[in-house]
Amino acid sequence: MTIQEILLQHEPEKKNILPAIKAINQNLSWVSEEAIGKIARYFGESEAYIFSVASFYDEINFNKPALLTLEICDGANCQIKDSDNIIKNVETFFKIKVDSFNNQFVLKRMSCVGRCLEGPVVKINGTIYTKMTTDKVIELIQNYLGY
Amino acid sequence: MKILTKDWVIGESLNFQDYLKVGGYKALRKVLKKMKSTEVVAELKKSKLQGRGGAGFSLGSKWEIVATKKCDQKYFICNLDESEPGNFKDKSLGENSPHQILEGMIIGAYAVGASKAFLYINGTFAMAGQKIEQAIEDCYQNNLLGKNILASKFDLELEIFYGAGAYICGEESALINSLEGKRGEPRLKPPYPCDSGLFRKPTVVNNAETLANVAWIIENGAVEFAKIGKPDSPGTKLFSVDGAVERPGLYELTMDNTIEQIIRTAGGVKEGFEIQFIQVGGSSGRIVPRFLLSEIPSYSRGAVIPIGSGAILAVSANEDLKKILLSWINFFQRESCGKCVPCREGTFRLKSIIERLVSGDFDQNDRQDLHKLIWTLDNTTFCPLGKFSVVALKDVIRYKMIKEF
Repeated sequence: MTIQEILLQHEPEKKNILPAIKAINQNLSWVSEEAIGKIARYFGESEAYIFSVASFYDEINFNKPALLTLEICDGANCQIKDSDNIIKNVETFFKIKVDSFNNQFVLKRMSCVGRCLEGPVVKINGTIYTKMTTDKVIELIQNYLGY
Repeated sequence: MKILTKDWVIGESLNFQDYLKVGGYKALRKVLKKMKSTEVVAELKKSKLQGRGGAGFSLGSKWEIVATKKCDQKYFICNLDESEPGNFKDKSLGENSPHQILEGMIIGAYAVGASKAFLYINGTFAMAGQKIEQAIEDCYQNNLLGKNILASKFDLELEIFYGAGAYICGEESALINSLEGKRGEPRLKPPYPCDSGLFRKPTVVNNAETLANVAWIIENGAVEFAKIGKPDSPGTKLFSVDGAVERPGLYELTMDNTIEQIIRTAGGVKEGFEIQFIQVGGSSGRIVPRFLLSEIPSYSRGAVIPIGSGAILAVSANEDLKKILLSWINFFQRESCGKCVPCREGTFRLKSIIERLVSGDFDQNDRQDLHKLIWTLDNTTFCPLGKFSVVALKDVIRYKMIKEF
């Protein structure tokens, strides 16, 4: 779907601004500068306003997504189930750092998604995986990257 | 004694037919056929039902304020933006019994005179969202939503609205801003949403678990409800129990149980482990050291242990408290919305101090700064998020759990 097609599914009312931004983010995996411009025109707001709203929310991406985005929950519940060590081990194994930008592989910390009982929880390119261990995470990453 | 989970089947969701079979929407029929809206409000007020989101404000009083407002448009919002770490009660409610929430919402909208309702759900709850969307559709098809509901001349439109990952949107005024297509930053109070909420109209915002109690109260009476639990904090509560217990999970218990009893319900402390402390209410919750385990967490004024949202995390003696401290502050630093300086900068500074504590570089200057920062976050931030970020840290200092402090 194109940006315009997605926009047309939403009535140009203020309460549909966030749903429209979300829909574009979901369908195209990110919200480009071009998209911000189109959303602004469609809802009759300034580009600055639309960007200020969109940038408030964690789910919205403004960079073309990396090949792989790995998010690891660091809530206290997942933490006592060893999520902290998984972060460290992934950092050393793939020689990357949390929050550093790289067009291949991005590693982030994530807030609780309410699946605490099945922790530690990780999210890979938007898909949630539960009951993770370092070995399982590394295997998943290698599958995604096609090693 | 169970109210919310009495009809739940593990691993299955109560669909429309199942819900009717266990007496669903009987309360709504009773309300629309036999009760005036003022009677509904009076009944809920008498039940002393308190908000289950954390603050514990009386639901009846909230409804009364909005119900007495003369206004052409009022709004009713259900808050299912549960994102407190360690909490999964509202999510489970949405997955297992979405109609219970909807029935409470429809009764509430009737009681306060709202013709438009929104259910604001955390954007990551795909499964709960799917169940709720189906439930809304079933309601529209069976004349429980839409025009002239059950031939009572009462109209209600109900919409689901997905959040996009922001903890602060669980705060009612931030949630309203988010619904209006703005940044999800909290508003200055007063005016409270009851006076000027969504699109500046009187608005009720209730937590999903609170609303799920409404149908039971209408059916069984406020007097019966007020008898359950503690007199000034009646009813049952969903507890999300996790950590070093035998059977982590979601438990519904009356609100007169001690923390020890809650832990025992979850199978007791895991074999071979010893409790270091219990945290009640998620990352913004109070710490309960071992000598306070016989306290009853509740919504009573001046309760030693406020129940908060009802998350119970049992932390064993094997865990490194410093690392858990870092997990809390990491969360608040990430979720601070950036609107006010004390919270935006304070959580950031606090994080670097705790990072130094973990790496062993904590010094005398850090110690001084730490106490100043705690005071600042506790007293000067715009909304409660700043205050929440130091609740547990203050307890760590109060109970002298880390010698460096």
